[in-house]
Amino acid sequence: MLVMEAPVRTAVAARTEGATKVYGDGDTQVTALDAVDVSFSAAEFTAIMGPSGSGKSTLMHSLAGLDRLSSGRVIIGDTDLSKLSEKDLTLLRRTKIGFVFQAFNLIPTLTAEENITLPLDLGNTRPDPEWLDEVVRAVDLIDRLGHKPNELSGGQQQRVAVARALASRPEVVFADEPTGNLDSHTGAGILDFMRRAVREYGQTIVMVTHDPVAASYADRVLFLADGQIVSELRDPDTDSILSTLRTASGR
Amino acid sequence: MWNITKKNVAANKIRLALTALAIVLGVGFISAANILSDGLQDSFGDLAAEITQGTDLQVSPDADVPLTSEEVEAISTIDGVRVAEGQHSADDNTVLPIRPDGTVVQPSGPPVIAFSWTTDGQLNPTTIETGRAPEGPGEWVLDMDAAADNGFVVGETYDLVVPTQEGRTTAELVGTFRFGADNQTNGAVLIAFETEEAEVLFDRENFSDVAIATDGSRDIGNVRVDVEGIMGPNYVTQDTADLNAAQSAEFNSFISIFAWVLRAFAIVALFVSVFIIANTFNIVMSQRVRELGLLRAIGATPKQVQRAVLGEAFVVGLAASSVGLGIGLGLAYGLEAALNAIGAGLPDFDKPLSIATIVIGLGVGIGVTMISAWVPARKAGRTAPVTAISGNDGSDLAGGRRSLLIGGVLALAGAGFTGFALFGGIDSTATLLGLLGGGAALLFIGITLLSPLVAAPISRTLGAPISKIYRKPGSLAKENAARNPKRTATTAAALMIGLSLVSMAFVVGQTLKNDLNALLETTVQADYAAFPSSDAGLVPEAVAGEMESAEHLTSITPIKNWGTDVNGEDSDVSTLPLDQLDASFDLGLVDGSYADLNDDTMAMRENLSDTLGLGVGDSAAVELADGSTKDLEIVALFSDGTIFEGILVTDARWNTIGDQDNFDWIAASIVEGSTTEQAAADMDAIRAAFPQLVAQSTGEYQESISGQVDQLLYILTGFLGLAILIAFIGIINTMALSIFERTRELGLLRAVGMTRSQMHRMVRWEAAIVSGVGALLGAAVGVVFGVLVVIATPDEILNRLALPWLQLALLVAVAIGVGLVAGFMPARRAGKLNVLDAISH
Ligand SMILES: Nc1ncnc2c1ncn2[C@@H]1O[C@H](COP(=O)(O)OP(=O)(O)OP(=O)(O)O)[C@@H](O)[C@H]1O
Ligand SMILES: [Mg+2]
Repeated sequence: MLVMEAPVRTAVAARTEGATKVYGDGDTQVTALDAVDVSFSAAEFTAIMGPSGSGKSTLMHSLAGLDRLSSGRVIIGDTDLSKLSEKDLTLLRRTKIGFVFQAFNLIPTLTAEENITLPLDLGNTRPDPEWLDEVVRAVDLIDRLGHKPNELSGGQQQRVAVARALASRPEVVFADEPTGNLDSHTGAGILDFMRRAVREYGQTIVMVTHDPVAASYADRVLFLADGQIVSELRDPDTDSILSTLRTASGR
Repeated sequence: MWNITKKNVAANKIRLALTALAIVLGVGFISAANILSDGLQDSFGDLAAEITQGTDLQVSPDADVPLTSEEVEAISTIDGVRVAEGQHSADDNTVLPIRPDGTVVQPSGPPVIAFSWTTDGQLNPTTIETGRAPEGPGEWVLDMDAAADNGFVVGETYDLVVPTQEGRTTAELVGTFRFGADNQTNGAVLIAFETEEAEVLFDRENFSDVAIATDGSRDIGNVRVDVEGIMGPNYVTQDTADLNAAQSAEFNSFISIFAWVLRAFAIVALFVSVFIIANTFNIVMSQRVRELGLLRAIGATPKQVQRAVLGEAFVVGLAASSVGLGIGLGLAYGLEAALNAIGAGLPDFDKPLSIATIVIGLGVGIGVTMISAWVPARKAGRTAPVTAISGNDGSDLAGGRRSLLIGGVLALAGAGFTGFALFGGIDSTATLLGLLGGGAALLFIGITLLSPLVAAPISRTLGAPISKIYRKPGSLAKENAARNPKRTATTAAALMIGLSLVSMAFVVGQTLKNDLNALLETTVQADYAAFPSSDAGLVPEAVAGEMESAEHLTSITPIKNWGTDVNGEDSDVSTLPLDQLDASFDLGLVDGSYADLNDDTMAMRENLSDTLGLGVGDSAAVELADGSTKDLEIVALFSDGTIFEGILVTDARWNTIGDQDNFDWIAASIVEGSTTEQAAADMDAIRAAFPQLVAQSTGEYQESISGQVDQLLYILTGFLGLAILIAFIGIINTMALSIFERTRELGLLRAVGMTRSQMHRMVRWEAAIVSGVGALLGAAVGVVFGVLVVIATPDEILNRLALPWLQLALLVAVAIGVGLVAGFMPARRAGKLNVLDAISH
């Protein structure tokens, strides 16, 4: 299956070349990613879908420098992750990558604001106050900044997480089922905000989801099965996603 | 449920192992104390038997009554008595052989014992090894090992320090002897002189006892009745068994004090262990709350859950105490070496692992572990089944308001007990120690339960500069230390206990030094002091004359002290050349004038006159040596009690009260215009003739006393080091458990860009802050304790309170430093976390 690139977008925020991840060995060997070549253009919102165990999280973790590939390469901007030391990889995560997990995104001892600026604080860099203001306003958290995570609702917590992912203006934000634990209304708010981040601020976002409605917020949907990209949709809507899913799983 | 216990122990091996280490150390120390005490008792028991076995009966005075050859004669005539011999013995360390190089033989621990040579072979526990027995003046014999060790050769003439007015004698070493079968003297040096010579050299008028050997014609009990009949009620008669028992009891009372001092430190260590074990179980239980809830949900009763947890404690306690016993054996050797290194001079002895030691070790270890686990076990049993589904919020099992209340009550009760002990005027040492120990224990538990109130603010205060320096990792460390005040408080409390005792000792030590400074700056005007090197020793009378004729010394002020009774109150009575009083001392004259002192008057310390309700012009009855009393008029009152504790009289008056020709010590000043070096050279020349003397300038005296105080503080800190070590193990353990609990959070931090070294720093500084909290609490509690001790102790001993701020600050700083080190292992574990594993934890 050929991965199509939109001709208008030239800058590539992240890409993989022959990304392969094998777990275990011998009889128990599992190929979670099977020579995946994919690239994510700047200022694009990509959703990744696929059945459970298809390798979505593995791909995200490899892209985000949280995990190393068995073979192949991951390139963020123009940095080849496979060549980086453990420490440089950490610094890259701090500056070039934002991450939103399904749950447990926040440090309980820090306030919402401190959580948002955490990656910057770890690097002793001052946040750009205007940008911070913008992000905080966008996620509608101004009056919640001083609160600790346990004083925030699940949706608010995820918004703080998204704000944190954006605060350092990373090359690319990865989100693994960011709305998986939320009700559909709250989830819609988060997704809406992520789409706006892409549209208005030119942020690159890659998101894993099981929810066709969530995926429909993206510019592009990739379908993964057995560690390979099997299909792709541009400017999707719920219906086209559902039908692609049906064909994909029918294969 | 036993199955679950077994599985849990297996699953929590490392955590439990760290916990167990506390018990291992505590049990090890207490076993070592028991092993040493058993070994020493055996060794000294043998010694006692060898000393007494040949003596069938022994008579000694029980009051101030004569025991001379007249009494010995009388005893000899009793039917059945084969021989009776009067014996002399000198006070320990008052007779010391001098090596040809001028140094004296005086081991640091065991004494030098001098006695008269008993001619009867049965009565004499020693036998001549080389040469012959001493037969007259100018002869002495020495035990074979002391002779060999110090290079004394039979046939040569040596000088010896003796307690006469001359202070010194010269005698030929005519022989060496063996004590008992193989000269097992437990380190003591034995010297003997012919009986009449001993009487002269030991400055005696009476025998110290009469040893009797029977001829076997009569039952010893019947002979004893006759001896008692002749001697009357002012003498005691003892048979071999009595003597052995008395001798053993004397040894054992020393050994038992020694063993209890060791045990006291072990008890402190075990007490500290209780906190860290309770803390570990508490944390482990709250981490297992889901599992506990599940057990309850599927039908386990609270009792069953509680029993499963206590079973776990039992297994840990049993394993740890067993290891502890083994360690104790090794520790016994280590302690022996350490004690000898600081001058205890212990003899060689076996180190038996008795049944009692094993039973006590296991009992204490298992008991302490199970008591510590009691509260966590009860809480675990009370887990609601619903928590199986809901889990818990990460905080430790409930306590809250109720535990604060209990803490307050316990702290008050503890304060009450300690206060009563300090200020209640209790005479019995056992009661006093019991009240103090129990009160302190209650106080510590109370303060621990209350300390969550302050743990968070102290953590934040201590952490503030750290977050300034280390930014985010620092501020995260600070917040982590503050997030669970109860856990931080309990962990810190273990450290608080050890350090509060150290701080208290520091306060007392500083006060001692402060008193010493005040004494030397205001009270003592003299520049020099000569005093005996051993407690029982005196300064020979001849030394005063030597000092008088020294070129660079003046105002020679020899001092004698004795005990008497003034209007029914026990009091010291002292004398000195009155014309030197003002030159040598400023006692703080309150009223009257020393000029009015004569043979019918006295000067009195204000403290005593207050007790008696007397003032200048009043008279008081002073008891004389012959038992009568004499009314002396008070002509002066002085306030200082450090030099003269009771009354001051003329030399002539003193001689009717006390019986001593030599001096307790001599003060002197440097001649105007002479240098300290010149004076020191004069003193050295005198010391060459009297090696039993110590001569020090006030500066040297101050240094040597300060040095002794410091050494004592170091030794104490060293022994409390065990409790402190256990506290740090507790910190490591709690940190490791917290790390485990925060796996996801740590993974998240790494995911968003915290480097491994930042994570190390964060964890290490959290440990450091927890230590800091413990150290600060410890220093605060210690200062309070110290101040109370200073107030409660009589002014002669502790008077002018001084707080060792520098030492206390250093203590806190060191504790923080050690905390950083203690955090190393948990930090490594945290750094090694796989980010992905952590996130999907
Ligand atoms: N640490 C691991 N060790 C062994 N196998 C693993 C590991 N992590 C993932 N796998 C395997 O790799 C495959 C891909 O897993 P991955 O978590 O990427 O799936 P996913 O698409 O994210 O699934 P889901 O939708 O359930 O989250 C699975 O077969 C999984 O069992
Ligand atoms: Mg997944």
